[in-house]
Amino acid sequence: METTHGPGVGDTAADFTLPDSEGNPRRLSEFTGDTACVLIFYRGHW
Amino acid sequence: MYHEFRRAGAEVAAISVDPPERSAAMRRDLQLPFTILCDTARKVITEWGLLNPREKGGIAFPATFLIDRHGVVRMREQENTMSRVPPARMLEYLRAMDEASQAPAPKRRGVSPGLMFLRAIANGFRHGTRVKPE
Repeated sequence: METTHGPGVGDTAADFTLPDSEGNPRRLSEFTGDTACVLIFYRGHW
Repeated sequence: MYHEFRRAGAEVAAISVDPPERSAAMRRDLQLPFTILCDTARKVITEWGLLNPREKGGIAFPATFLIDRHGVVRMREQENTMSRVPPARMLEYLRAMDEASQAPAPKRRGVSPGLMFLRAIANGFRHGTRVKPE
């Protein structure tokens, strides 16, 4: 399976939709519409 | 800390493969004010090149992105669990980004964003930061 690198600096991040912790679908563009967004990927719960 | 980011003009969101129930419990326990997104299918994590397939059936490598209001990635740092980007450095970078042009960053030059980032760190050392690094 080809691995993709995803957006680097200068690239436009493709919008995506994921459920939040309450189960509501959220789009990345909700966080970047009016403001910049700090997006933190983390390992998850131990 | 979160309000510092809001004042600097940024939203914060965290993303992992944990299911919503697990993320909601962690959010309650840690009283996190920001959104947690649940990539249980590993779709975004894989597309963004952050899949660590060797642990727990596939989890995300730690990484922090700064995405501006045009949807352009201004900073991408891939980290390890022991040394995440300190919030104070993120704030400095956010403020440096705001002072620079609002136009989208040039594509993949490599030098400009890195220079801005180093300047932000240097400012942090020169002027100190009011926030305790984690």
